[in-house]
Amino acid sequence: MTDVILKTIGLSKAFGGVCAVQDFSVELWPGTIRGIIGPNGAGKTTIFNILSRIYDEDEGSIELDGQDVTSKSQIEVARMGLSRTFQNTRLFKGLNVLDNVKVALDHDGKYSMFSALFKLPFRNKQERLIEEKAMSCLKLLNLDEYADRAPSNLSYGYQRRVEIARGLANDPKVLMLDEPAAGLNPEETVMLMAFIKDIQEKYPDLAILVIEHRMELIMNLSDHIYVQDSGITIAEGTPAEIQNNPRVLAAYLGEED
Amino acid sequence: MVFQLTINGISNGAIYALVAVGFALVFNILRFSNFAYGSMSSACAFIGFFFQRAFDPPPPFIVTLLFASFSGMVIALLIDFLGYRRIRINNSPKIYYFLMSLNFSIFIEQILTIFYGTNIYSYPSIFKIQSLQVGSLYIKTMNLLILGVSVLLLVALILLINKTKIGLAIRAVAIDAETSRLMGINSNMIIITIFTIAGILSGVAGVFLGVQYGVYPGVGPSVMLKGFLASIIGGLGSLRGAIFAALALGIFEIFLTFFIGATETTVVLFGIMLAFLFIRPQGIAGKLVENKV
Amino acid sequence: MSVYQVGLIIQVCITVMTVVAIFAMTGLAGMFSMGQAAYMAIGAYVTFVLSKTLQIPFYLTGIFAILLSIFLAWLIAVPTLKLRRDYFAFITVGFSRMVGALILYFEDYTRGAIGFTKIPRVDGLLWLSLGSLVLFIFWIRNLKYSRFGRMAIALKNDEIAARSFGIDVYHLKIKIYVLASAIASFAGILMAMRNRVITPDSFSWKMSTEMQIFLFFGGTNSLTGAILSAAGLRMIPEFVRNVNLFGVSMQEYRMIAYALLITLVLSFRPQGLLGEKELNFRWVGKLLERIKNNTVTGKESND
Repeated sequence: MTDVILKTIGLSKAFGGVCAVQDFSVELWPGTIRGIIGPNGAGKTTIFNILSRIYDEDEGSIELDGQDVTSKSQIEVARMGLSRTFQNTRLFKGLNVLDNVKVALDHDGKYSMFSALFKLPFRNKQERLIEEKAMSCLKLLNLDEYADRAPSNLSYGYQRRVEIARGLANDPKVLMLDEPAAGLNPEETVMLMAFIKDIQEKYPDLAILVIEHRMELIMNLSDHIYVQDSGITIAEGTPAEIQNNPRVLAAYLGEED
Repeated sequence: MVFQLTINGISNGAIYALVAVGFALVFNILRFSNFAYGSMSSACAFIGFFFQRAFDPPPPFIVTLLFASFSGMVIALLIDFLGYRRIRINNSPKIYYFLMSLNFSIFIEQILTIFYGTNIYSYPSIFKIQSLQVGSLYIKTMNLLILGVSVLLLVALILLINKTKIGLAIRAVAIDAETSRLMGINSNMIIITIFTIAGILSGVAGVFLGVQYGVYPGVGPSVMLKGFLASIIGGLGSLRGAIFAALALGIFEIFLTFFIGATETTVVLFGIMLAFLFIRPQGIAGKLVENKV
Repeated sequence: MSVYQVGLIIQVCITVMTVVAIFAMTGLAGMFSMGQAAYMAIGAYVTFVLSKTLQIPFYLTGIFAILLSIFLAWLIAVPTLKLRRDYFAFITVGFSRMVGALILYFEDYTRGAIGFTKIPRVDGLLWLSLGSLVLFIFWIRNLKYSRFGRMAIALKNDEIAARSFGIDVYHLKIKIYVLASAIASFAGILMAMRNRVITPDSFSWKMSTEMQIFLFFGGTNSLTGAILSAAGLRMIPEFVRNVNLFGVSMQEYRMIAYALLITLVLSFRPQGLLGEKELNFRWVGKLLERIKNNTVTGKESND
């Protein structure tokens, strides 16, 4: 059994007097998908924000690939192989699709600003490598025909896929997807699920953590689910176990799908 | 001597407080820097001056103040309507507000310079008694008036913010504009209110500046920077902090100028501003608000 | 070519190179600074005051002036680029004023408000200006199409998302700010050489604002836009020099005209005149290909 790639113990965070997340623990293994579901306001995105170090936790610890990252910054943790998408697609305007993917690779681009200013051979070589890597990532996910489009010219479904591709460009260890199906119509949702399954095949060592608030999506994708409500984990287990859990059903009573 | 300087400093600080608060209101609640604030004050200094001079015998000073504050309000609302409104509608990035406000600042200053540029006008003396003597201290009656009016306005403003319904709405918008709008607070009303208040404050500040330092196009902008400094030191989100910081700044500046000279003072003040931003950007009283992702 | 024309070209070069530097700072990385004129002042004053006082050739003091500007830019950037954009903008205004105050303070050396005169004539200033302009445009264009340009555009758009890709937002901003300030410093030296006289007023924050207006007019996302609008807006007032309105030369209305123009642009065409368009050889290539396709095959190309 391979080692756990992402692990948190007892994560808690409160804003002012409001407790957003309480005592959250998760374990994630390479090559698997786990899901976090819960009604709106259950603190799911806050968990992601803490994991990616946008927020500091009040209590708890986080381990990535065996290393304690609780004291690391957002930038450091991203460079260590933690990738995420956001609830509203945050593709960069002013950059086309290919550049958006390249930007995920840029921090590691190796050539100096001096090289860049004078367009030195080393810079040219590194740029070619970056371009190849970005292009091959797009090709792998069947998005290469959109390479030189502006993100705003793509349909929302495709924007989402590009954003996910961008998250994969640098071969991360963990990919966190924040409500990837939000705003998609049923047809696009089906395509998205196929897309994610495709990613699992093409990136066999990748661990994925998905947030969703729609039950049927998570059921289909994940091996193991955490159910959050008002910051607390009210249940966890396989889809089958969760489906029949009375507490889970109670939390979702009255929730629109 | 120390007391004398302090007394002068307090009225200096009172003007800064007016500027700081007017600036801080827009800064804290609408979340952008209104660079135009300084030249608005300059414009009102001119307006007050010419209003005063237009009648013979000159009207009571209070009337001039009222007229100037009314003009300030009009100017503020005009700037918002002509400049900022479109940017709001277009939902352009914040940078656009800066440039637009700078733009207006220059526009107003240029117009003033073209038509009145080379002279420094001074207000005729307002009071028959120029100064009162208390023991060995000389207190200029004008300084008393400035202090009095400023205190009145600022107290009224604080009461407005803390005790009225519209004040509550303003505070809500300061904390979270998005949610406030969703809860039904009319953001346009709030914006108009904020600019009205800022305009009035700049009008009064402008007249006082004109009286203290003379009426010339650049009189407003130089003070605006110190108003900003006071907002920073006092703390983001805290009007009371801005007021106290402005007073302290006013006193401190008078002392500093007396001991080391005006030019050096500018350098020192700037150094202090840098130091504050480096060490404690949220100021003395303020709290940093985290952005929701 | 007349002396006037040469002087005009040099002035345009100076303006364009400063705006190009501001493009890198504001257009690429989203930093709004009113301090560029201050770096020009530092470049100009330090170079020639030191040169005269210490009797050292100005090209040596010039190098020192640029290095000093780099150091100061770094000093300002380190504490302030962590803060909100408006704080940073205000700091730069304050910095601008402080530099002005310092120039007046050292009156004995700088001649204060009267102005520092008798700056020596330099031969070949025209070629120096044109040459350095081409170099800076080369640099900034390369910057835009490098990983630094991409990362800058990303952080300008969305700092948090940029960080989530491991982009060191803070240090990148510092680098670009320092670069832009160094270029501004050099431009200031050129300006001193052209005008032969420098006063603190010539480097006020109004000049900084003027440059920002040029940038936004052309479009913050377009280097070509920045170049064209800086050149154009700088030259046009020259053609109305001799016209008077209300007994005041049209030149005085220059700033007001700019103010009106930019108000219109910011309100109704916020992306600037050129928007995202860049003059690219790629673009020319595509155009040629289209023409080729149309003439050779007689069919519509599938572009």
